[in-house]
Amino acid sequence: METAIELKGITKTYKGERQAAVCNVSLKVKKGSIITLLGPSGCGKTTTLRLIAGFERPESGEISIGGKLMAGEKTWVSAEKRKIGMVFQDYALFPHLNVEENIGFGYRGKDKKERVQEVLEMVNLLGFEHKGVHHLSGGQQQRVALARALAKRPEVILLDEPFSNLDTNLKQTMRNEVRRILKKANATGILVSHDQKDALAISDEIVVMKGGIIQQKGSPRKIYQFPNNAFVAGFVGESNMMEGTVEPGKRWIRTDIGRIPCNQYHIISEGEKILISLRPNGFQLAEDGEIEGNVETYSYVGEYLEARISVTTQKKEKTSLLVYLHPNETVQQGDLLKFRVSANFVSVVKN
Amino acid sequence: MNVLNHKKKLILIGLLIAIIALAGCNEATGDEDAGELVVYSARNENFVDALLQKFHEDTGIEVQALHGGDTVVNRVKEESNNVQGDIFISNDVGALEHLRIEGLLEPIEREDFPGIDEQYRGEDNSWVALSARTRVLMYNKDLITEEEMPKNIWDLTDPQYEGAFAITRGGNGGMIGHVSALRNEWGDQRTMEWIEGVKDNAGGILQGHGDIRRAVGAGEFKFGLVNNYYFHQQLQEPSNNNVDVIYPDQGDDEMGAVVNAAGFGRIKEGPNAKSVNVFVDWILEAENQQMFSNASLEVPINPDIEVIEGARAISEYKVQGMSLRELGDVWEDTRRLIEESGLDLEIR
Amino acid sequence: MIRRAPLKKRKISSFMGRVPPNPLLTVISILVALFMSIPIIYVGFRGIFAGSERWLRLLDGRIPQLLLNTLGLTAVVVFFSTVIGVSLAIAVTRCNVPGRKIFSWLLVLPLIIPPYVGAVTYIMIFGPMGPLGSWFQIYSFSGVAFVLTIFTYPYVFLVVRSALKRMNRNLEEAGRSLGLDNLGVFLKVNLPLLRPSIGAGAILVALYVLSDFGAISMLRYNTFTSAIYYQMGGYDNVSATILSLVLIILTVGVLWLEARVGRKTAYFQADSSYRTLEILDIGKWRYPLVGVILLVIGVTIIIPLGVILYWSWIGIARGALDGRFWGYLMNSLQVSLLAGGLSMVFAFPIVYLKSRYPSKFTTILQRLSYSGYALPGVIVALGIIFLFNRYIPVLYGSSFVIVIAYLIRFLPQSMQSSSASLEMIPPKIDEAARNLGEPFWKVIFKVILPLMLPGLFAGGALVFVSSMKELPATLLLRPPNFDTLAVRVWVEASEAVYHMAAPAALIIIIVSIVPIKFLLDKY
Repeated sequence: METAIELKGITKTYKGERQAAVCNVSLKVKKGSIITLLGPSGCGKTTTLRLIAGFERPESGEISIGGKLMAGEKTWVSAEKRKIGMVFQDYALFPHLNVEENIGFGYRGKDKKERVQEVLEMVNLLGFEHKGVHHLSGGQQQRVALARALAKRPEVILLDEPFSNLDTNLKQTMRNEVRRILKKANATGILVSHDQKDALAISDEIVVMKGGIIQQKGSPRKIYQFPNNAFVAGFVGESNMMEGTVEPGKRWIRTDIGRIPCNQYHIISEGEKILISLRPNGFQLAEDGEIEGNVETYSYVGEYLEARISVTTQKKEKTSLLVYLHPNETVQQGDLLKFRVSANFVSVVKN
Repeated sequence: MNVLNHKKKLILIGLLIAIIALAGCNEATGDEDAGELVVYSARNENFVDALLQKFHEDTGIEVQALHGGDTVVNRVKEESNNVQGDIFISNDVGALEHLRIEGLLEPIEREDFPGIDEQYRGEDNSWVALSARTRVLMYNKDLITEEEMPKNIWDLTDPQYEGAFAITRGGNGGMIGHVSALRNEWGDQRTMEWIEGVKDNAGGILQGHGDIRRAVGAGEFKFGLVNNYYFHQQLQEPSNNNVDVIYPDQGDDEMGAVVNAAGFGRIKEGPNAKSVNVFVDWILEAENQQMFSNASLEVPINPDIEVIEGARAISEYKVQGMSLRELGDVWEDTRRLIEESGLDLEIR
Repeated sequence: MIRRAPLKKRKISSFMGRVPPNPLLTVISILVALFMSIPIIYVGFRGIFAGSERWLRLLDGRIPQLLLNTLGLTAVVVFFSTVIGVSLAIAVTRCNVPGRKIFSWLLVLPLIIPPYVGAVTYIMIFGPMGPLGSWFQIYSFSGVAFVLTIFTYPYVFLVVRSALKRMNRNLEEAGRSLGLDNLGVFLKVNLPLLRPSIGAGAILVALYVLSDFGAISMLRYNTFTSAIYYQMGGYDNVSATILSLVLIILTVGVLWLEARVGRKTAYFQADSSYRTLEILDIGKWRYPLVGVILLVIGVTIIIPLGVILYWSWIGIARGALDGRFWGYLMNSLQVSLLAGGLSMVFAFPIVYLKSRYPSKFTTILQRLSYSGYALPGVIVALGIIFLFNRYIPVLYGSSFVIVIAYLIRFLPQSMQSSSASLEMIPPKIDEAARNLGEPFWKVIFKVILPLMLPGLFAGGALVFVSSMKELPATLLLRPPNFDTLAVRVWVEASEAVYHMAAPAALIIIIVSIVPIKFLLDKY
């Protein structure tokens, strides 16, 4: 597959800051894919996006788009010449222009009118051409912003926190919509988000960042089920972390609360002491379960039943596990429950 | 966000165009056939305006006048390497001499100055005095009789006149000229004594002579030390005009009244040399000299020209002997002396 | 590694790691900043190098007296305008005075009367020729202090009133719940909260008194500004520079105070729990209070306007509105419109750089362009006279130097206004436009300027009005045959030709109504 964007060893430090906002980041994005830069605020994800867009200049490293060098030691292509579409947080629609003028802004082809119609159709906003952008709802504004970014047929679309201003229902619709539209336009999309749900729902690939450094890259499933460090495990969803020793055969990890299955045997060795992450979804109620404990607290959150289970370790100490039960289950405080653990939610993490 | 609609935009653009057009207008006027003359005047605007209007009518030359009071002196100095003015009209010879000594005036290209005695011209003929202004004591006849009035300047220090009269601030040109003459007559020591005495004795120290004449006319003070034409001006007021005048120091052994003069000088390297020559010829015509003096009710320097009704020609009274030409030399020293004697140059 | 041919090369080593601002815009900004500051810096330098002999003479003689005069007047005016401004602000915002809505803007109205015009009106009344000339000696310290006080108290009134309006009721109730009575709440809660605003208003007044030339010289008082002006009439402009330097130091001192007060004004945050203040019932005391308010309005608005209208009427009847008068009006309009228009053009580059590329460098540029702000017009004029005659003679000798003086004095007004409207446009808007492929200048003209237009024009209008009123710099810089309305007011009034002064003053007052709305919005 062709590479749409490539970052090589990009570092950027803001003036007056001691720590680099982005530190030696390298990344390849496949053409036509949608990736999300995910992380808490200050992790460098927005800076990375702005570096790609050309609003910031790296102090070292190279950025190429479509195989052409955009920023490097001696090269600098300014933002307006990069041919990248961008959807801004809060959309940054021009308040003095109507929908049509916003979308057509900067479009130089003779087919401006037709193209505007085309993208309006793509975002389902036909008929809104002459509306002022103030009169649009949040979702509509976002569609206009997307249409504007798409109008010039850029190969790459950058989206900065695109869903942060939408309410929950609209958010879900727009996640699907944006994915559909990007795929239809055959554009490469790079999103920035601090919301794991956005990232999991929309992306082909997720890049988790922290402190300007990439923590893990991978498919949403891989990131969720097999976080490879404690930060990712904690940031993308919730997780139970525990130490353990690899048993002979490398299929089981012995921990304080019992044996945990693991299918990442290719990266561990017998007798090794490792840290594992156990997703709360990995527990299933089972009569013959090896792990047992009493319900400490529980709360029903709709999609599942979230329970804290107090487990007695082999050293006779109490430890607490977070477990998602099927919402069908009914439990009482103090109930004794037995669990089986699914290896698909157990991940070996680095410290 | 408040956004302007198209109509408003059009109006604003129209306004901008209007501004530019307006700015352009100014540049359009200027050099006509007859040329122009730039006059810097320290004299009261009302004394000069009609005169310059007549000059324009007689010669066709466009006059650009700046009535800047005393500040024009400094302007001439500051503009010395970027000269803007052609003619400097002054209230007092001190300023003319001062500029001449500073090298900011140049000789007027003319041999004869009919009726204007040599002592009333700069030694290089760079300035010419046209009208005399004599230091007099104007009094309100309702408040004081001629007999009670002081007959000489020294008497102003007499305690019997305490609070009865007004003088100007020390920095007034007429006052500086007066003190310069006193120094010439008495020497610095006695002059300083006089200033100290007068300052303490005076009932008021006012900004200018116009204020004094109005105040005396209105009866706020019994009399005031002014230039003679202020007396004539006050006589022309519809009310508060019961005033008369004393020409001081007229006794045989006395120095005579102190005279200063108003006139004009030629600014060095002024931009309109041709117009300057036209102006000089024109102003030296008898009727124009008369107009120059009469506008302010001053007395012409030229003895051949008729004085205004009721005024005394300069030849009719005794005049203090210092040559006006010497004024410029001592000007700064006199200012300092006044200041040191405790009479403030400016109103405080 | 294979080195790929770069798409377009642009080497900016000094900005490595930063996206540089547009070079042309930067150059323009630097030029504007220098243009705005050099004349004043030049005056300062000439003052410093005026020679110790002159310095000693002035330090010995005039400077102590002028300091006493200037600071004494400033202190008295600041004190009285603060007392009046604060009490009236409290009266119309907190007490149940009948008609307080109307009073609250009538009391701002004196701002439309420039103090030198106000001085003229009171000279017309109390001057030697006035009907009440014997009642009160207007040419005196109390006369100057009176006139300046009544025309500057609205600064304090405006600032304090707006602070009172924003004050949160919860704080007062907290005070009450802790056992304070009305007076206690006022002294221990309200007053400390108001202190920064009172300070800010007082500083505005102080800056005004330090810089005023017109009213002070018309009332024949002597402070630094008038001394500098008359020093130009003596033959000694070097002394003028020394006096200017002292005055600059005084002004900078007050500005420094302002910066310190400004840092503390962040007391008022209208958060979600904000509730408007309760209006106190002051019982029968309302009526005397209304009397006082009416008296203030009478003295500051009705009497001056009445006098001006009366004399204008006489003037018009005597043919004051002749060709020359319209000429003066055209002169005023020409330089003021030009200054207003150019101020928009000059303000934009610096404001944009400061907002979009904040750095020490852009802060310095902004500060430099503020040099003329709050500095007396006589000093600005001196700087222009000195500098332009010596080094840029071409620009001297036309009405354009007046425009330059106006720009130096008033550009900050335009900058504040356009900066406020630029801050409302998030930088993302610029980035969105650039991202859509528009080069820098197109972004500016197609997006930023259209959005900023209302603020830009408001700034231009403010500069226009200030220019219409400007007196000292115009007096010193006007070319021959170029009097403005303000100059005519001054000239005619000094000659006591009131019927000629009044119509010009009336036009200045009418024009000055424009920024009142702006001030009321701002505070």
